Amino acid sequence: MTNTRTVFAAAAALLLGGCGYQSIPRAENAVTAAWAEVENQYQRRSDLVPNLVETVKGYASHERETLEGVMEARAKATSVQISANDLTPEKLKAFEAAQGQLRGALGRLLAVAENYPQLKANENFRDLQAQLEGTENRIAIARRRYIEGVQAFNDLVTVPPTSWTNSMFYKKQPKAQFAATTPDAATAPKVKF
Amino acid sequence: MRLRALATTALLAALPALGQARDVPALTGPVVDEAGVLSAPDLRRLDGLARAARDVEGRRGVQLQYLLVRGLEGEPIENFAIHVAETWKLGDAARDNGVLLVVAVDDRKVRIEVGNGIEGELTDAQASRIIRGSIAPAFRAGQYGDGLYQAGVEVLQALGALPDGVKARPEPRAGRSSSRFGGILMAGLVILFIVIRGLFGLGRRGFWGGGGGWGGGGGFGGGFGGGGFGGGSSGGGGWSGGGGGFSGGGASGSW
Repeated sequence: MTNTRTVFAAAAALLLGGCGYQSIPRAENAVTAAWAEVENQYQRRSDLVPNLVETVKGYASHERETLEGVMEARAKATSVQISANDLTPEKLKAFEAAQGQLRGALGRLLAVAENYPQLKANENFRDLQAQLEGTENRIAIARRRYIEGVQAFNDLVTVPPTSWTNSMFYKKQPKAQFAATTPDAATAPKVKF
Repeated sequence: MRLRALATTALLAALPALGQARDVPALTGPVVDEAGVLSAPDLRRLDGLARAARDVEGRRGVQLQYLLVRGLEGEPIENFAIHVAETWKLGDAARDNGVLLVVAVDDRKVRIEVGNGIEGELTDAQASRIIRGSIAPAFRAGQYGDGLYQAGVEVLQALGALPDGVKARPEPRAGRSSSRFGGILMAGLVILFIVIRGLFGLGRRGFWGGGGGWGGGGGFGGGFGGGGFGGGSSGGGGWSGGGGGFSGGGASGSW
């Protein structure tokens, strides 16, 4: 009797294995990790901003409007945080909007810097520029990996047969996806020297 | 009718290629020169440096990889570099200590892609300085081998992983900050170096002392085969990726 039960349990486990019983939580963990990386890289960009603003100020102090714009956008961007299990489309949109503003403000700052040859030749500024480029690249990659992770997870919870497992056991909702049309989704911005 | 079917088939076959990124070459060794701009001595020198760096701590040292291609076919070098790094899985899986130096000769673009685990020691700013200070000037003079060798030395130096017997270089002087006097001084030093080398009959082999690949015995022969991708065997002198991760660290530049 116990023998039959063991065999039955083993068969059930085997069946479930192919039905998303394991792969759904696994995919969700992957999304959580990918989201943490996205936030981490955006945070990294925010951390660069004060230093960058200080350096530019040393050469272009009267560009007050642009400099303040960057700091304001940074404050706004860092105030929007989403935890991984709360990734709704609305919240993701707000996050995107705030980060997009910071991105725009930084772009304007770098455009202004073009007018100051001494600033452009400053080693510290060049290093910061390299760091900013690197961070933009990291953001692009973290976003791509998040998009891929969410795609895999959403497929599991919406496409049969794994979606049946989901509706039976987990009842998980699809995760919000980045809009693929955002300008920086595919490539990091080019900062010309 | 049949012609049309044929045309449709051809079109369908061609379609995936349109939207796809540039394909990743096979990983055949530490130096993959698809562009064919490196001389045989340059290849051996870079090969020796990369192998010497890898061969420490039970072959778990930094995996320094060179890739030279002709063109990027419109793909940004950042995308291409991460694509290659992900495909080749350079570096140790636990240490994520791969470094990929990509050169697109016709596009005049270069990128240093830095593995996850060593981003702290080789920062974006340092990578950028290496490009601006060492790679760009050498490449402008057409000295691909020299620029890449020096960049490799500086990368390893930053990581504290310079193999024994390889001479460390001074910190690169980045950008245009070098004065005219500095240029003259540099030229003088180079001439002095050549003269001394000539006087003492110091061949390249003796001076660089890197790797044993000079004789050609252990070079690109059977050791690499075609199995370089991902999970290829790591024994027998093969050069396969160890499974290291990358998250986009490093820097790009042009010359």
